[in-house]
Amino acid sequence: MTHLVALDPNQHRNLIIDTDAIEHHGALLNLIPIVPSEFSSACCEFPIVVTKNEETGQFGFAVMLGFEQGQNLFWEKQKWQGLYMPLQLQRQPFFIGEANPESPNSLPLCFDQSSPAIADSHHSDNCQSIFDNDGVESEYFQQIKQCIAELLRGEEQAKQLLEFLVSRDMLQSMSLEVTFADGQSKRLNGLYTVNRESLGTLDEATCFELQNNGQLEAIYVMLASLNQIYRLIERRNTQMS
Amino acid sequence: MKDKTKNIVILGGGSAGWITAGVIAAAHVQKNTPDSVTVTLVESSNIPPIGVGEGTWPTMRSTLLKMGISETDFIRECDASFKQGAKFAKWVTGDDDDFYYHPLMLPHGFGKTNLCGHWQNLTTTRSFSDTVCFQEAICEQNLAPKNIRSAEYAHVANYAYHLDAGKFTVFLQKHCTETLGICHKIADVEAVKAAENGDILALVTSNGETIEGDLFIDCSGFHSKLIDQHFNVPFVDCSDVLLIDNALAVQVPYESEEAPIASHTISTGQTAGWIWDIGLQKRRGVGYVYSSRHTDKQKAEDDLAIYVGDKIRELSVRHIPIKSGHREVFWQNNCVAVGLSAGFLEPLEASALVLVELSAQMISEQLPQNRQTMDIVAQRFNETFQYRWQRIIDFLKLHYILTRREEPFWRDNCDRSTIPQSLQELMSLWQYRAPSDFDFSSNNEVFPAASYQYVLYGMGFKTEFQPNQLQDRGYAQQMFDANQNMIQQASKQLPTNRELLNKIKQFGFNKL
Repeated sequence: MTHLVALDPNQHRNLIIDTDAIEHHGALLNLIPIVPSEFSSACCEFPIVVTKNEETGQFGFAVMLGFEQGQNLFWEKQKWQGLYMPLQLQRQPFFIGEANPESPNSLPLCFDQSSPAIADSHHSDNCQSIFDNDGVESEYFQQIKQCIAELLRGEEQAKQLLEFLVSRDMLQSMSLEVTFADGQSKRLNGLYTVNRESLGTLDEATCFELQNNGQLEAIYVMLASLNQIYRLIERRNTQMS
Repeated sequence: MKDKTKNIVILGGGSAGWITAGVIAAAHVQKNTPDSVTVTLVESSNIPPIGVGEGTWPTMRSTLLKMGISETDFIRECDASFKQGAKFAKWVTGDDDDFYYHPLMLPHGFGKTNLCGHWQNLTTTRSFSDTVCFQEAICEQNLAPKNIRSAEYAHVANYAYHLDAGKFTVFLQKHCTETLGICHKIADVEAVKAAENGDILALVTSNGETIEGDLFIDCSGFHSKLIDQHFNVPFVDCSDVLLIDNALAVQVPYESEEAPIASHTISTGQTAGWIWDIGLQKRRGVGYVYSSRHTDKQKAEDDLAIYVGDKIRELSVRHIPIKSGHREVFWQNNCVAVGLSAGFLEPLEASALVLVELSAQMISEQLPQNRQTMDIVAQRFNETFQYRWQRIIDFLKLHYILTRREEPFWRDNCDRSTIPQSLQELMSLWQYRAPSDFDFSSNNEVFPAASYQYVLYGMGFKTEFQPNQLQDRGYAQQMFDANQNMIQQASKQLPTNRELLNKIKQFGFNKL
């Protein structure tokens, strides 16, 4: 159960985060949302797919970590086994809350009070304070804020890219049926990607624009990353054998 | 080619006119092409009718899709909601716990086995539709047929719509004129210019304009300006079979913004007819259709007031006379009637709009290339739709003849002299076996055998099944179990109708 509160420098001056425990937030996730600026790092390990948000039905990018709900094949021995950790995990247990209607331009920073990463004391070297004794933000907290800022920028880029892909009918659903070494097979629903052929139909000016704003690269990286599904199947076979 | 069918003129701008215009234009009008078919719609006034609240069939989804309409736009702008079938309350005994469902999905495993006999042999009190189809359970919980992640027009459970017919007309008009290239004229048609063979050459308007055409489509509603006033095609009265002849309609606001929106039409039996209850997004459309031979207007108003409650005193009730029947032929010379001008039976089972869609579809797909082939198409159209109207009349009548209610309206409905021969024959066959696809083997069927099963066994009809009809019992049990499983899955996964409609307003569906 998450328990969300707005961060208050006075009230939460002694807040300590156990950075080792942050990744527990991803233990049961088979999909973790990512933004285009993460694609080049993420593509080396995970398939990057388009999925629909459960609450809104709107498209978003995500890395695929397992074949069913609750299955994260990159979570083993109570540890995150990937080399790259998505910003959505890195920023835990902090996130941006809803804007106050009175000041719509400033977004409140909140945290999840029930997060396993909230520590009582500096019990290990990886425990980090948010504020120092004088109430000044720690270097660690600055990093977290940068991470969240990158996510916010990235979400805007993701939105633009997806709106473009939707407006050009360039997304297609991936119908995928995988069979594992133990003979079990699984049909994957609700995953989408870019239709490779549709890229060939873009006019020169559009290609140039996509090239300039980095979106063309993001599209190709995403398409190339789909081959990581074979590695994901391998992981599943190894873990279940 | 000689006398090529090039200019199509539609008279009337109600939902029939715009659906027909849209379906034909989407398939035939090529913009910026000189030889293209043109579609012109003429109507006397641009004021949309007051929307009573109308039910559609699932066919409306493919009709809208064919016209290139976004489902999100349609739902947002037509006050539309989801409909997953009909719940018939108080049609059998009239008691408070008397109801059955006619869902929009076939029984589980339909086509592989006939579950009726196996269901009848069960020692359960579970209704037929609840045993063989998961839709009754989700309707009883007011759940939507899909979720916000479903693509436009895709479904988890098959569905149709409830919509505001007035808003629908405005919405279609905008799409037809702005996107599909239909020419829209507002003018009173004062005269018809005819050729010697009776063909319509042109419509002459009160401001002196002459609108020429090769094919004219009469969507002028009950006025039947072309099919009746010009061609004098006789009207086949069906009031000897279907006894309803009047309607009282009222728009009822919801109790609150959180009140559940039923995802099915609720039809409740009354002393001399039945009350429809259709949930739109912003209000309910409620109406009493009754037989004036069995009650009077005052008594009908009182019965409607009991159903709606005290708030009816602040609402305005409209009175609409119904003349149940249809034209003897629908396509005469170069004119075809679509919608109310072709006929109307009664609101039961939402047959009005689906007939418009089916007519528009056949006109569009079989559009005669020239005047020489038009008579052949006309004859085929007439045969097809004479068959369809007959099947609809039979199916509507079926709802009335298995009642155990004692009021004169219901007793008169059960009188054999009011039951068509074709329906009597089917009822004889079904004494010994369940309705099957072999009973409805034409390419032009409107209702599948499953619909007859739902009504028949929903109303407590007993068939004397023979042992050889009950052989695949194991498979039937699998289907029953699978259905229970689907009820549980769907109940967990689907949002309420209102939740989904709110999300559509906020986010919209994606196209895939």
